[in-house]
Amino acid sequence: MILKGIINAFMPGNLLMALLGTTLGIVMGALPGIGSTMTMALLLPFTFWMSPAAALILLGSVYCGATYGGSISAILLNTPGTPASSATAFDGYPLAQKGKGMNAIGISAMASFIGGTAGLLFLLFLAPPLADISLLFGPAEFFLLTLFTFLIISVTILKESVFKGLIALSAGMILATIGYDPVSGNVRFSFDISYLEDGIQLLPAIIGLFAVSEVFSLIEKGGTISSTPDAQGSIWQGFADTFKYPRTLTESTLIGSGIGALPGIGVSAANIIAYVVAKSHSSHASDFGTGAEEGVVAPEASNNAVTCTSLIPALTLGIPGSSSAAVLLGALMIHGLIPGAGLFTESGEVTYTFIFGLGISNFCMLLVTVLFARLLVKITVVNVSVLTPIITSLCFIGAYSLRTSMGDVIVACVFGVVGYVMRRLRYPIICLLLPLILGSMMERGFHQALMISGGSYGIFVQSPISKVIACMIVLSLLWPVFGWLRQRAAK
Amino acid sequence: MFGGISVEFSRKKFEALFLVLIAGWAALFLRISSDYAEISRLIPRIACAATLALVAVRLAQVLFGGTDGKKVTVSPKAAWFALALFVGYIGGTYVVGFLPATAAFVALVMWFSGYRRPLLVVGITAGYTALMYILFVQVFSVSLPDSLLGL
Repeated sequence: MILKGIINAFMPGNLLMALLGTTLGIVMGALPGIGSTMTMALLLPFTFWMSPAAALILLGSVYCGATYGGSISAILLNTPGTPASSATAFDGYPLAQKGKGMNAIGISAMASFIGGTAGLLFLLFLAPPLADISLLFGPAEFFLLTLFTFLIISVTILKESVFKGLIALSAGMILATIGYDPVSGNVRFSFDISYLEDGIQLLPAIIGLFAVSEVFSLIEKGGTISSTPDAQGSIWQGFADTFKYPRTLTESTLIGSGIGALPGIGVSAANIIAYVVAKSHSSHASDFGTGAEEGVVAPEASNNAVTCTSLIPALTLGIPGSSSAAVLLGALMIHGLIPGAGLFTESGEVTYTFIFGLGISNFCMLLVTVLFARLLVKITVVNVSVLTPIITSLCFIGAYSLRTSMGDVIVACVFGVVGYVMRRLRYPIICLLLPLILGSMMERGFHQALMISGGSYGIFVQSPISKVIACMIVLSLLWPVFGWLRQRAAK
Repeated sequence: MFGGISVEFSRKKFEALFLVLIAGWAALFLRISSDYAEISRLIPRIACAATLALVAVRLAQVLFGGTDGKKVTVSPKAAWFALALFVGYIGGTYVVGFLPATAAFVALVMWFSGYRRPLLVVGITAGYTALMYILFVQVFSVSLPDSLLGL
């Protein structure tokens, strides 16, 4: 059945779908606010006349391509096309500023290829056992895992002061509580403004924190994004540079694969977690944020690994690991394929064709990069007088388009000012953003766990998984103390 | 772009002001949260209390600790330009519609930020606005914001 899947995936029609989907995904992923979910949702009606395998390959390739495509605008314009590329901007953009835009795109493409291919192997061989592990995570475990994620990122992101990270984190947590309470449904902190009843929306917040704040910086700076317009680097050098960091590559791929297999956490958090983990063990951690190649490898390997492994719970349990996986799940069902063990037995031929089709999409990603990257990198030598209104306009339509709400545009502007001030004072933006992504899930997990236990806090240290995560939380809180002791010992 | 006029603040004062604003906002939310049911107020209260405590510690660090002596440079001209840029664009969209506002906005920003090549400004503006129309209206069927003039 696996062999049949490989042969079918290489049929001309399926190859064409993989190339078309990947190219479309890269272009749409690079446009802020469009992303994979919206593109897949728009393409879904056009797949009705296709064979199930071709339809799934087209949609899956859009998903993979868009995840990588988001990194292109993150690197060249400091505007992540999708939340999956938030962390790529931290070092990708400084590399572009140094005239190494091509290298950064090369690194991004190769890391995405490796992460995506490894994620596919996980999907192929580890789908059933990993799905079983994710079933062991109840509300208490999800709450603890989220809390651990918050803390480890806040205390390790900035060496100069852990308080900056923690203040941004707690402020982000307050922002995440605006709107409907995820458990009782009560409205909080809305000030009778109907827009705020739905809470702070993630997409305009991301556009504001990263893109709008960058517009402010560009207005101040002037000139061009790249300070060395003649030295744009080499894409092949970028491909080669990726392999200089085998540990980061492996670790980030594993982080992405693991997170993708857990429903709910998703690609938005994975790239940030991988970035912070890479920074924490890097021998040149101080270079992070100023154009470290490792800082591009980590998020890109992890986010493309997530795209593949987020299909594990979707295909085996019918639980999507991300919003794009949910669209893909819908496509599966529309084409008469029911998630579960049957997908790998009765419908195995279609499923394996789809999985190998995603593998081909990964190769297409490299091909499209080699063919068009030089054209894309030209953006970095365009005068910012031209770029500023164009980026602003993309921010506007990106924030507006998802819910057709002017409120989202205003939120993007407000977050732009906040992001700009945070940058100037060296407060980590990720720490403010992370609670907006995971805050409601954490709060829901907390209350649901207490409801299950009848109000007893003992549930948070009841299961073996809870105990392990609780220990990790304590260790993360002690992290700054370890750092201080290490410094003293060094002196 | 706006190198001419700039004002320097000490980073210490700038950060202290930022922290005071965060503390005021957290205190306001802490006060408001006391009106909510217990299940709804627990997490916000913890977050507000944690923010206040952390801000207090950081404020002490900033005010009484060593300072790096660095300055934060702000250009009032650039700040006003950025503000006018966003308010003008949103307001323009509200009055004349997204596409005419985008065309006017792109052309005006390019011109006033020093890109004085009339043919290129017109060409880029027309090309970009047409691309936006084709991509977002024709391909993605995104419904653009309503305007007073209905354009």
